[in-house]
Amino acid sequence: MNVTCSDRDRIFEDGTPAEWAALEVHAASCPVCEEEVCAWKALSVAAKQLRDYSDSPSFWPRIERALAEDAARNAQRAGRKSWFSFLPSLSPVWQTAMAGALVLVLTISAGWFYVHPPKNGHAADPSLLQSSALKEVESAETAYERAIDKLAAETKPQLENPATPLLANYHEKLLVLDSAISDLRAQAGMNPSNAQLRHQLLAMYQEKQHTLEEVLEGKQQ
Amino acid sequence: MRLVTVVGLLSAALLFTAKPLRAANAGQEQVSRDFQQTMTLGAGQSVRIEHKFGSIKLHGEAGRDVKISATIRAQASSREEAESFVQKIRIEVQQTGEGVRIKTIYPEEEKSWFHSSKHSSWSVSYDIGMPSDAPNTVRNSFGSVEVAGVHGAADVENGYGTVAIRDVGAGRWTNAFGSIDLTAAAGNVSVSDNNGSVQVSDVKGTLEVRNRFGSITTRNIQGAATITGGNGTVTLTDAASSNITTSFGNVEARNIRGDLSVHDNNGNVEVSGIGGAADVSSSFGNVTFSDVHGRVNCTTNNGRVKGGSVTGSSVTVRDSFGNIELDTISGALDAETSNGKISVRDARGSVTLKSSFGAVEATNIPKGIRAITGNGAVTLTDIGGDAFAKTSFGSVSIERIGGNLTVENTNGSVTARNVKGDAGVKTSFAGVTLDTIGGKITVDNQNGGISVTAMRPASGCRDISLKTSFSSIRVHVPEGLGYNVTARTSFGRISSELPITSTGSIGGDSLTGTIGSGGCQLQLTDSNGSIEIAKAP
Repeated sequence: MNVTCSDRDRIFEDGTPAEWAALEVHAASCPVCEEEVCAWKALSVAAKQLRDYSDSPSFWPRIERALAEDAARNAQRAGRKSWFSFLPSLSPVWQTAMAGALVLVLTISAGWFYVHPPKNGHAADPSLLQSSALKEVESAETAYERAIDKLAAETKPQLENPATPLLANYHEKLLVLDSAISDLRAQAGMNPSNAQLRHQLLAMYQEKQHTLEEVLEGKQQ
Repeated sequence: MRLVTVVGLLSAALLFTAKPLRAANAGQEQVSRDFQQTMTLGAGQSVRIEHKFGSIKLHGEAGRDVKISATIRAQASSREEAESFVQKIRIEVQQTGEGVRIKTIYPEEEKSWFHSSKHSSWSVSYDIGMPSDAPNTVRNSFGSVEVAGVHGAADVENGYGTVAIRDVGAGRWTNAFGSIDLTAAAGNVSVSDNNGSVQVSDVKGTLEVRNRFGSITTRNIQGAATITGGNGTVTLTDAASSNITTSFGNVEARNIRGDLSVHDNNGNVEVSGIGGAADVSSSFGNVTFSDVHGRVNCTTNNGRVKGGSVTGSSVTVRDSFGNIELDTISGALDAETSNGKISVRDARGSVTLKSSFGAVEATNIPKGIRAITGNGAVTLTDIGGDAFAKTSFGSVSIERIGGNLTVENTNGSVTARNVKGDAGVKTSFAGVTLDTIGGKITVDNQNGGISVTAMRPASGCRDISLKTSFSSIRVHVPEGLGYNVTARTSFGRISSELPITSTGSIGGDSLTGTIGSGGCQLQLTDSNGSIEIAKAP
């Protein structure tokens, strides 16, 4: 089976084992895909660690570090790209013509941006997540959902008929959190890379998991 | 190839210097558009901002201009799509009679298309300079809000994001699911949150805080602070006065210049440095108070109460299942618990202590004390005034009483030493030992022994009346004092170290006579035990 770089995202989402194997073969000769596959595997390990629903203290730092690393990786990749690798196959005349055209275009662009300088921070703006960061966040959300489902099943009898005011309060808090999660998920579905929405959604998941754990701790005591 | 290399390097250099926006990453393009507009605000007019996705920064400036600077960002799978997004998001700025209204508009007619692309996203961030004295209203849903240096009245509502406020005037700040951090407000402040932490400091007016599930930390409030929490901790430091209500979080209040009222259901309460009265109630938490200059009223059900250094007129404590421990109380003290131990040290007013099933201990009480318990021991030491101790099934131990002593016990022993006044003891099934008693002595026992040593009073003598049924009586009286002796027992013998002049009938089981020249009554009544009269050491 042959796969290309364009198949990569689809295979990440719902690729078959055979497609994954083909992607790894392809990645062996494609540095870009190799890097993405490595990043994805690292994320899978992180998600697996989260699946035991113990709230690792390094969770948030890991997300933040991954975001920073993603930005750095992209910048590095942009620098490494062999922009002119196809040029040797062209004739010297074409090479010269293309180079001249490129210089002209870039000179005009440079002149325009010299007159209209872009504001700092636009390119690396953190308000919108890049796709690898988004994948990591989505992976973390999935891990949270699984952990929460498991905890919710264990705490369901207590919360449905709360025997103490504290349990009633936890129940109320969980309803509020569910409402917030529902709202944020709906918004994130329409505006998926909005970092604020994703961050808030993760925070709500974390809060819900923590609350369920508190209920469970109370039950065990 | 050399030409290619040169051109490549040149092009790369130009790309780095001129590239306005780079691709976010493979398959995602990010485009941004700047928006800038300046409006002039009339006197008394306000600024209103209605926003949904993104941050808002609002800062005060000199002059009457409202300088609106915004960046609209969109990210999509192609540059064309991202650019189309950016163009469709509008910022509407209107000058109305009330002032300037700024609104972000996401076109409704484009909604289905707008939301159709799975990988499309957008965000708008504002940075707005406005007259520092103008009122402002902010509505945001999913983003942070920062306000700095705006002293006009504020009305800020946010949904999901942080709210940071610094150097402002009076206002109302509300958030749903993010933190609120307010520093330095010149007027009255109202802060409301749902599930984020709230921090407020340096407020020159009054403060009102509500938070359902998050923590509340407030500091340096010149006016009264009214705090309503829910599930998080409440910390208040330096306020004029305060009223705190919460359900499940701990409360800590320090340095309150006026009165403090705390009502917590299930958390611990710790208050200190209260200039006025402290009224604290809790159901399942411990209560600790110290350095209170007004009266203290403390009620809890299942927690421990620990208090000290109260200079107010009174301390009243009601507890159900917790211990009470109090130290250095200037005013009157009234403490009661059902099943806990009460321990008091250095209480300078009148003291009343009640427990049902716990022990009662008190020491260094210059005035009188009433110590009552059902099934616990009573231990009183260094009581300046009268002492009353009552228990049913515990022992009573008393030492150094300046006034009179009264003990009512049912099934426990009574031991008292160094009582300057009268001693009256009643018990049933345990021994009574009274040592160095300066006043009149009355013991009414049923089945326990009695041992009494009377002290030589400053003048005259004091009556002694001792009664028991099935045990012995031993009484030590000072030499040289006169007593009218009446001693009677059924199945024991009567003996005396002191010479007794009999004036009536003499038998093995009864004796009537005088010690010395008589004067005070020495009545010793027993049924089945011996009676012994001895010299006091």
